[in-house]
Amino acid sequence: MSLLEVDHLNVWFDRGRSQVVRDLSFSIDPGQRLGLIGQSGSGKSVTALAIMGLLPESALMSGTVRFEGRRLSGAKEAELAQARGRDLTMVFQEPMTALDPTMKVGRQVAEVIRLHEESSGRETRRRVIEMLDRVGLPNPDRITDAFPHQLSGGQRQRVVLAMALMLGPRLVIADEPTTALDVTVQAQVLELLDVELAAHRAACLFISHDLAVVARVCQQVMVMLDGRVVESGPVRQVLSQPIHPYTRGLIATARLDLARPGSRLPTVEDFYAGGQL
Amino acid sequence: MRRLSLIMGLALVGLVVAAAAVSLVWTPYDPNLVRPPDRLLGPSWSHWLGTDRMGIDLLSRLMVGSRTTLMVGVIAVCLAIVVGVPLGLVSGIRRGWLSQLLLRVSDIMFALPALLLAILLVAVRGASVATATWAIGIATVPVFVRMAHAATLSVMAQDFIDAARSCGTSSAAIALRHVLPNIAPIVGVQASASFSSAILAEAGLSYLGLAAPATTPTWGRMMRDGQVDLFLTAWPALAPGLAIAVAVLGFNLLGDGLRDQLDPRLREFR
Amino acid sequence: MAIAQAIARRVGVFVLSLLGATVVVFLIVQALPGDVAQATLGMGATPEQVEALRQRWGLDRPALVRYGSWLLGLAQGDLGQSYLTGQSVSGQIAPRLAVTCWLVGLSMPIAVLASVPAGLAAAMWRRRWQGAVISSLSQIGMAAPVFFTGIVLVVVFSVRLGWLPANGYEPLLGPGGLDLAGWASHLVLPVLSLVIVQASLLSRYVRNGFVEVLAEDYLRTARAVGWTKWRALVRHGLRNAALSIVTVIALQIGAMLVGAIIVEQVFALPGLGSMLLQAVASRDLPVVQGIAVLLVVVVLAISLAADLAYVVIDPRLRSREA
Repeated sequence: MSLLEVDHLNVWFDRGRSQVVRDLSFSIDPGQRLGLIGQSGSGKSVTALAIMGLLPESALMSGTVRFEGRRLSGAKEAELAQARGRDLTMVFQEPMTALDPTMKVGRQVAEVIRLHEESSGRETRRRVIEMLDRVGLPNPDRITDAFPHQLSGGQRQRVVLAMALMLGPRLVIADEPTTALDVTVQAQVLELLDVELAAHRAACLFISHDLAVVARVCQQVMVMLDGRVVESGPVRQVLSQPIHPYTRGLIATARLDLARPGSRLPTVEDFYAGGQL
Repeated sequence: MRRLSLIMGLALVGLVVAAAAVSLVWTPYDPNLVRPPDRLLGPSWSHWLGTDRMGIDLLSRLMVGSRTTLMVGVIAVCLAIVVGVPLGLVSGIRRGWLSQLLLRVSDIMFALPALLLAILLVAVRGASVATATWAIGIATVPVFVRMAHAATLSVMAQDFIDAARSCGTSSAAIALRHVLPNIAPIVGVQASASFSSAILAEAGLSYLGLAAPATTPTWGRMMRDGQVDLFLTAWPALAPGLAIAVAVLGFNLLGDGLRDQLDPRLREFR
Repeated sequence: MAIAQAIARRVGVFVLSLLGATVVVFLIVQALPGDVAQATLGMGATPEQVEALRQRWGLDRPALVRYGSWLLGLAQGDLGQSYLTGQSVSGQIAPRLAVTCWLVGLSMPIAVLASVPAGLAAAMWRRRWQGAVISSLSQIGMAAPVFFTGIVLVVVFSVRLGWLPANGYEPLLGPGGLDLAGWASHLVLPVLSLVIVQASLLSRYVRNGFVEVLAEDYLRTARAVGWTKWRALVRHGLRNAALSIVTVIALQIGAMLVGAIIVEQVFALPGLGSMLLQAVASRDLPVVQGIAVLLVVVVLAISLAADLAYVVIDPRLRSREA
């Protein structure tokens, strides 16, 4: 049985006037890592939010989302909240704003434990520090008493990962988790995510606009355009033999090392001008 | 939905302005005509809102009263804008000890509520609408200083100011051509909000008997006089109170509506 | 260390503002054109009589000297002598203070307590009719002047229902001993009038504070790890709402005190406000000046307290100033 099954998912905004996800179906097996790529506005993040049940109230949604056979779509908020953080979780793009500025980070991590499990104060603190250590934060016992503004972007994203991975969820949805970080930190955080996912045997839906990053973390990939999946398959195959012109464009623009010096850089439009799919 | 407050605000403000305008040429009765036999009548076809303890038609008096309300508001807010905005502008562009002093003084003045300032002035100079207007205007100045200062700082932090500077534009030209047009909308929103505060302050002063003499019809004064007969009839006290609430609500909604129109960030996505 | 520094800075500003405020009040009351002695005696008085009165009140001394001696007195809690009775102003204020303190001291906390759930609900339901109802009620509560609200309450509870007295005051500890019922029954309506106005205003700011938090990324993070929407909002929004409340209280404390003065007039309560109005009517300037300074000191002190609360609540502020 698949871990996550998304069936005929549609999402509309603006009182149904604009559709951002169109008839999307896919599944993720336990431990599988699926990349979801596309330009901004293609509906990647909205798909993730729809799975988590975190869509804004103004959005309309149809279709079903099942996690381990249980229906998440249409479930009550309290029921969903129980599953979030314990069974499936999500990491967002902006580490600078993802943590409450008025609360110590240790407490924010600790609350994840308190929410789902009985745990004494001392035990909780020990687990928090251990987790902060695991995600590669130096002096975890000091960092636990720090406020978010005292940490760097990379450190904050590690804290967010610590919150997400704390209870060993079986699915981690990562929405451009490294986009806001600078390149060296990006590599470290990706490495960490890779190792931790493997350690927990957790599945992952990895959202990115960056082919190289997706290729590094995932085995399977889906290409999204205007709310539809236009191409999917094993990463290697999609990257080496893209079928859809849009995918070809994405790949060409990502491989700037192949461009001849002095010539115009390729754009996605050179390969795919929109219109009929 | 977002437009609703703007439309309702305009409608309510329009109602008050219309009442004032009409009262210049016509009122149902003479607003000062005392007719003892008609005292404390309830609302009827001949007196829509009834009469007060002197037998004066309440609607007529309310209509004339709206003139004082609007006049005090307009003069006080204009005074505050004319004095406050340039001060805030200058202190935002030229940051020196003088600006600091100016801001400190305006902070101190801020601690003095309009009504208290008015009470002090009345104690010295005696009660009159003019004194009340001055006091409300002066007490509103720091509001505009602060607001214009903050808005100027945020405009000055933007790149196009540096661009203008690098082209050799003088500070005065920057203030007039770049900063003022950018802060003007915020001044407008604040003016609407301050207008309702001014109305409340004037009504409060009149109610305390510290603004207009009994012969001048003002809403606050009418409530003071009406309260005496509260156990006989509530109308003479309640009608002017409703009028004040309508005017204040109108300007508050207008300010909210204007702000929503101006600030695209507030048209939230979620 | 950072906290100590930030606090010291704010206390310094407070002291300077206090001095500035005394100057402002003194200038308005004593330095504006207009001769109080002349006005008191009327046009028929001879110049000698006027001069004698000026001397008795100390008005013949230069303004700077008068300010200096007034300030010295203030520092020792001496607000000067009443023109009218010759008694000490501080002594006259003391018995009046209790009424005003009860009025403000009771209505403020009640307003805060009422505004938090109202603001939270208005934020949470801001797209539904429930939210619209709460927001509309607060708009109306803000627009109605406090004396109108007071009179409406009197009409309903005193005139129609006859449950509560329309005016007057009974001290808690009267000549006949502890009189809780009499005291409370005279305070219910005045306090309620102030609460309605203040809670309407506060709940609007609390709502906006919560709405801001709703748009924050960290709220989404909290929900992604298992908080329900309501609980996440309460958890992370309360501090933000607390900041809004502190800000509004600091901004509005002056208006609230003024509201108390007016409410005292509506319900004929023998507090500071009615004393101030009597003094204004009789042009008893030392009394006016004394009460005004007292009120401004309260306003500035509350602003200081709010500033300090800000430093405690918001950790970012602490290190920014370090």
